[in-house]
Amino acid sequence: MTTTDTRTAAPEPVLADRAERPSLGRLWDTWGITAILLLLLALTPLVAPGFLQLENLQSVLRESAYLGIVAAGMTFAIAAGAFDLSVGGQLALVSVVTLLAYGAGGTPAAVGAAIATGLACGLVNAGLITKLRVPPFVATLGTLFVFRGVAYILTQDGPQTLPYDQIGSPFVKIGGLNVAGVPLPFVIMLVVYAAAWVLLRRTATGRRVLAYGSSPAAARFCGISAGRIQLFVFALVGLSVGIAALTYITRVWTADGSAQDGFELKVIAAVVLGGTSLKGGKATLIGTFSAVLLVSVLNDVLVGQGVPSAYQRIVLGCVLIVALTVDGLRTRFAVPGSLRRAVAGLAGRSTDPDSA
Amino acid sequence: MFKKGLLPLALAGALVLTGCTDSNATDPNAPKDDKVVVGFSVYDMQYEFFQKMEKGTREAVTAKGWEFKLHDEKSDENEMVTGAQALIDSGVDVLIISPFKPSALGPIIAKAKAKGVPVIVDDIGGGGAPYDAIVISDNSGGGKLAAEYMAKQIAANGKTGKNVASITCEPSAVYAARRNAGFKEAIEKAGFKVVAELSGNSKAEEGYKVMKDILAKNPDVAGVFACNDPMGVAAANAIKDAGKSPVKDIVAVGFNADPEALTAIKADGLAATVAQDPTAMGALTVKLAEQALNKTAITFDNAAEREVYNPVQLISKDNVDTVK
Amino acid sequence: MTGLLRRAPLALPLLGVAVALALTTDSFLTGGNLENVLVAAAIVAIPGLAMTLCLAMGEFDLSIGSTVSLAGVVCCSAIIDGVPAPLAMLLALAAGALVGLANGLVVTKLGVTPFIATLATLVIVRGLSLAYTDGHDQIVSSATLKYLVGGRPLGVPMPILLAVVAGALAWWTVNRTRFGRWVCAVGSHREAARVSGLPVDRIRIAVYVLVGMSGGLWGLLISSQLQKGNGQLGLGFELDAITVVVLGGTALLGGRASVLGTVLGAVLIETIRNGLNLLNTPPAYQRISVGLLLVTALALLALRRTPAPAPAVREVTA
Repeated sequence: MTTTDTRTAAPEPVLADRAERPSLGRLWDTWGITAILLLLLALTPLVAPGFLQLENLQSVLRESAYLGIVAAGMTFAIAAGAFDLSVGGQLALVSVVTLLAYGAGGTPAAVGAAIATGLACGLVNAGLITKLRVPPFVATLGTLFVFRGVAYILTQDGPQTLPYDQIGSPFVKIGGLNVAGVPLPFVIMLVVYAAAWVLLRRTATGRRVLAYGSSPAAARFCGISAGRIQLFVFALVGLSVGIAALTYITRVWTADGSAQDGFELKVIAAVVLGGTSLKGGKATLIGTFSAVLLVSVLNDVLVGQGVPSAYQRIVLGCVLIVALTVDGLRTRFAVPGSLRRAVAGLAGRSTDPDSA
Repeated sequence: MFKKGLLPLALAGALVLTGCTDSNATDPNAPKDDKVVVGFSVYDMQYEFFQKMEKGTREAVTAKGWEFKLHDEKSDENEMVTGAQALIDSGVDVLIISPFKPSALGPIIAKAKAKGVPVIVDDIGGGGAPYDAIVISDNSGGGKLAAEYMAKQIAANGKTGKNVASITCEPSAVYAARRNAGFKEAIEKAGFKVVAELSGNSKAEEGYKVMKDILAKNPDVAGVFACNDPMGVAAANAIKDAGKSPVKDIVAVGFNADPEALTAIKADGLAATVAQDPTAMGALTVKLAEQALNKTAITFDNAAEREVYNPVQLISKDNVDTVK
Repeated sequence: MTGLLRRAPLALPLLGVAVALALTTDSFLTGGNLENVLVAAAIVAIPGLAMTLCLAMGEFDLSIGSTVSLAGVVCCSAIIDGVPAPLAMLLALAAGALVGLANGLVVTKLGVTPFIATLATLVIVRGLSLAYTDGHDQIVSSATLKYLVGGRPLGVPMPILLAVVAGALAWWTVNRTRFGRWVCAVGSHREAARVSGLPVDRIRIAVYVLVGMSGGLWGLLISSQLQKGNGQLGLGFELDAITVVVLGGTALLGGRASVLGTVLGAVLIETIRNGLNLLNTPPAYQRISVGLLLVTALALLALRRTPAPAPAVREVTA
């Protein structure tokens, strides 16, 4: 992720016409949440000395991976102005099928099954949305139930589990191995983000996704096919779930229909927290990446310090609001000359057109 | 702006700052250091059942002069694996765990074995992993107790109906499903028929709705058994809302002996519940943990699965006052 | 009939499901069961109606499930502390309104995306319920609270009466008042609405407060059924409320509100759920059925609507 610089944000269609030069607002767009993450990382050792232990850092990175990988795919969907509510169901189904395949054909079968099932789920969504014209929200809400339902049916006699005697198998190593001290799931996540970055910033497809998300109507006039964009992003989400499931299932060893209930909201929250707009047309993979780590680090610190879970929730919620408030205030500065109005707006809304 | 966001976090962190550095400095391979540290990973502290289990465990640990570390899985298998492994990393000498997903115990026990930390499982299930011991309520036996009580109570009410209903937990709770299975087997042996077996997903709201649907379809049911007390009391409320008594007309029986069930039983708002004693189970795990640490042999009720049973008991209006 | 179908296309799948259930079960058409379905539908329709305004405004409120829990906790602990039940119920509604106000202020004054703002309040408000109750049930036995689901003024179950009143109010608001037009205006183009001089921020805050209050009422209805409040109630209810609205045809992108659609959406969902229970469907298959029916219903509706926009798309992409 350190390979990016601020210029890489330049082709963003929404803001491109507003300011070509990097401004504070533009910098914040891409790096804001990263700055918050770095600040948090700098302060954490003061309150939680155990945080810097190698094993703890490895644990944070290892458990961030599955969420982060799906969030990379979801960044594309949200950039295109849609989102996929079915990722939790996909993760459950892919994990169950992967374990079944592992039982039947070992590691290669499991890896193949994960990727294929993930893609298939994505294609089902894409088909519903492009061929049957069901709005993405409802289509993926429906498939969330369907994917979980199929996973339940496959696990009616109990959850699918990796047997304990498989502890030495190469499949388990996917989740447990460290490469030069760095957990393999995190290495996979880094590779996924690098590939996603190239796809988004260096290919025509990436630009089309952004253009379509920015204005579907305008994109159509430029000859961009709505169907193909949706097919692409939903298949991509499915693929990312397939990869993520490999890092998930090899850490948790078990799956059934209820695996990772509420996963969809966590993923979408990470993407939006990172700075990708739910309205489409604007995406920042660095932001998504940092947001995933931010939430993981916070969670690790709260859990590690033994904060009661009711208060963990309150603190996490407050941090979400504060992080986004910074972003919300930033948008008020984005339009030239808006600083004065923004300050006036904060002081009291009486000067706003509201009262006019 | 964001500094403000970190302030409460920093405060919260500072407030509960424990001897984190100390425990990290402990050599995990030496279980016999000055102070034994017991890590307890709990299913979900939202539920009274697990609050009692935590209390029983914590009190038994502090009574021995040991140190207690709590981790809340918050009903999430990812948090369960991550947090329990973090407990092991932080240098606990023994791990007690009530697993949200027993089948996810594998990676935790693998890590514990690598560090020489014994693992005692508290309730829910063992998932086939090589734990040192598991303390478990007799779920199937509890369902059987409920069935026997229900048959007796239906007869005492002078009802001749032979139809009963069964409300299950969420489909992934395979161990809790044994309660409904034990109930079904015993009630059918007593000559009844289970005409509806529906899931309330362990939630009170859904338990209420499901009971309404059961009453619409089979107004003649003579009894209902629910897999947990929130659903049992909710089903009893639905029976009351239909103008019937959950004791005299449709015998409603729950499971767990949660405070709400005990309150309801005293007020004729529920016929009975099956009591597990999570506090005693917590204390029992600590006793087993000590035996595992000292490498003394544990007496199992079921040696093949390394199970130690904690008895269940039927609570009705006759004996509800004896329960704390 | 065609007019009704155009305005409420859900009537068709609803009719289909009802006929199928009438044929396959002998208890669906009994008075007791129909009332049972309608009461359940009424309880989800009430927050659905407020959510309809929110979605018409192009936003949505994820915190409503936690508001349900908070309202129940506030009401029941107040009753336990000796507050008269009617006052306790008002307090719960006020707590709901307060959550709504917080959402509205965070969204408008701090400029936080509604998705994240309400997701954050979802987490915070549930945390508050849990922290306040310390995870314990707040058990009550209140006839006044029970009246909310058990009462039968004019022989009509109270939830149905409440939903009819709420539905009439919502229909009147959307179709006959300036406020309703404003909400749709904000939903179809917020900047245009602002430039036209509409008090956009105040409209948005008002809608969030309405949703919060409806969440409070939802919580009261649930606590009335269960005679308790606790931090676990209302888990996942946000998706239930949003589903009935979307199913009813209120576009997620804003600018449109279908009150009748939301009501029918609630009835359809509850009919399906009831039917699956009457048929004794195992839980794994229940989830699949609900998902498939949702997708099918929406696909049918979307196909019916396709002829209009489709040619335009093809011309352009050709």
